[in-house]
Amino acid sequence: MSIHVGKEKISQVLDGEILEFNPNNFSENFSIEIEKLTKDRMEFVMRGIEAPLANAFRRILLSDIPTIAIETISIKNNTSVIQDEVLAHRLGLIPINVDPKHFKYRPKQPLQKQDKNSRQESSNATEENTLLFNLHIRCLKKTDWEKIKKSRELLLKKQEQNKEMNIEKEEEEGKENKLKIQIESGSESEDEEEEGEIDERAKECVEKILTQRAKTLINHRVLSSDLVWVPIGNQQTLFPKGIKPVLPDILIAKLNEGQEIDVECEAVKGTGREHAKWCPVCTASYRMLPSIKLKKQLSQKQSKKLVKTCPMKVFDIEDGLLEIKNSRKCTMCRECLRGDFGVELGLVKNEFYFWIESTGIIPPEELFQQALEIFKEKCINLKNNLQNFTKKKEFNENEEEEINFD
Amino acid sequence: MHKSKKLEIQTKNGNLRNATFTIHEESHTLANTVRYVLAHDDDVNFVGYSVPHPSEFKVNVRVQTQQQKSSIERFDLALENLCLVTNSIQDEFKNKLEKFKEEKGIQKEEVDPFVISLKRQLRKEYKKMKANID
Repeated sequence: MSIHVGKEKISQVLDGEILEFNPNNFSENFSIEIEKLTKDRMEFVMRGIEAPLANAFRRILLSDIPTIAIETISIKNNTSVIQDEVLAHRLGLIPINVDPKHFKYRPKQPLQKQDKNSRQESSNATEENTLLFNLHIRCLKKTDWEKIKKSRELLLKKQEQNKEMNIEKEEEEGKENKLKIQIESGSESEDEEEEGEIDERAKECVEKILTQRAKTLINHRVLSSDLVWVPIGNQQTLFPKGIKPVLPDILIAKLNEGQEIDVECEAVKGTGREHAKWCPVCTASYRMLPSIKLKKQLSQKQSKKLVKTCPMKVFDIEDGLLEIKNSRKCTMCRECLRGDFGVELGLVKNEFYFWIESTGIIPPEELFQQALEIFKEKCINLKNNLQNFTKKKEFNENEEEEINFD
Repeated sequence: MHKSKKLEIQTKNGNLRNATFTIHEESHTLANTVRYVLAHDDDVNFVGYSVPHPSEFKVNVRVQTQQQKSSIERFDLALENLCLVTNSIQDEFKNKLEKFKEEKGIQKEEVDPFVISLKRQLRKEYKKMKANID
C-alpha cells in the first residue's frame, strides 16, 4: 500500500494488498479532513483516493476554471519608459475581483481586414462578455499640479452655476484625494524600515532622492488602484459596489515628470489553459503523506541518536520508549536511513495532503467545488458523445493488430 | 467556426471488443482517470492511453475487453462510475466544510482587501506625519 523510499532508490512495493477501486463502496473508504482554511489558502487531507483522481483535480484547478483578466488595450498615449507590449502584459496579469459566473466567453472573430477607425474585436464586445477599464495617469510637479487644480476649481464653480453635472470631473476629484494619500505615504519608504548591511551614506543618498521625488511629483507610481472601471450597459445595476482589482497596490509602471499613460482596457473571460493570467490559483499542489515504521528494537543510546538525527523532530522518546511523534512533518530527507536504525520510510499511495492558494478572486473552498463540477461536466459531455456513437454506429475501419494477453 | 468532432472510435471490422477512442479537446486530466477506472474493471483485458503529440490537444484511449463484452459499454460504465465517485467526493467535502466552519466559528464577513490596504497606507502616512512633527 505504500511507495517504499530507500537510501538510493524509490520503489513500488506490492505488500500483498492491491488497492481496489470499487465505485460502489468508494464513500466508505473515502474521507476528507480540512486542516486550515483562510481567505486565500486551504489545506486539507484526502484519504481513500488515488493519484489519477487527485492529479485530475489539481490540473483542473490550474487550467480549466475561468476568471476575468484584461485582454486587449487601446493605447491613446504612452510616453512612459515602459514599452506598450510590456505595459499590456503587466495589465493582463492584474487579478480583477469579479465573479466570472456573471459573464460569458467572448467569441473569437477570425482575422479580418481592418478599417482605420474600427477596432478588430469591438463588434463582439457586449456588456455580457466585456469589462472596460480606464487608466489615465499623468506625472506632474506638485507646483504645476496646484495651478491646474485651481483652474479646475474655477471651472467647476462656473459649471455649478450653470447647473451641469460633469461626472468626469467628479471622478478626477475623487482621484485627487487618493493621489494625496499616495504622495504622503511615500515611495520606497518600506526600504527605509529594512535594516540591512548597506552603506549608511549610500542609504541616505537614495532616501533623499526618493523622498524628493515623492514630495515634488504626483503620480510617479502607477498602481493598480488607478484602474477605473467604466460600466457599460446594465453592468452598473449588476455590480453596484463597483469592480476593482483584488489588491490596490500592485505597481504597474513608474513615471517621471511630464510622462503620461492613457489606456483603455478590455477584460474578458478565459481559462488558465490559454494564458496564465486567467489562472484562479497562485498554485494548487499536493504531496503524499509519509509512512514511517520502526522495524528494530533499539537501545537507549541508539534511540537518542535517532531522535537527534531527524531534523524535523519526527521521533521522540516518551516513557523511555521511542515513538513516532509527528510523522506528518517528515520531509523525506532520509537522514534516518543513514544510520542502522531499522527505519522503514514510505509514501502512502492513497493519502494526499492538498493545498490550494487562491489569487483572491474566488475563495479556495469554492475553487475546489468548481473543479469537481468541471470534472463531472467533462465525464457527462464525453458520455453523451458516446451515446451518439451507439445510435449512429459510425466507426472508422482501421487495420489494427490485436494485443493478445491470453 | 464550426465545432470539430469530440470523439472518434477506431475498430477492426466493426468488432467492438477492441477499440481505440480518439478524444479531442482532452488531456491527461480525463484520460488518466478513465484509464485508472477501466484498469480495475474485471471485464477489460487491456487499457492504455497516450497523447500522440503535445502540440495537438487530443488523447487516444485503447480498450480491449473479454469475449462478448463491448468496449464502448465498458467505457460508458467507467464514465458513469467517475460521476458517482465525484458526487460522493462533493458530498463529503460539503459536510466537512460545514463542520469545520462551525467549529472554528468562521463568520461570513465581507472584508474588502481594497479598504484594508488603504487603511494600512493611511496609518503609515499618519505615523510619518507624526514623526516629521516631532
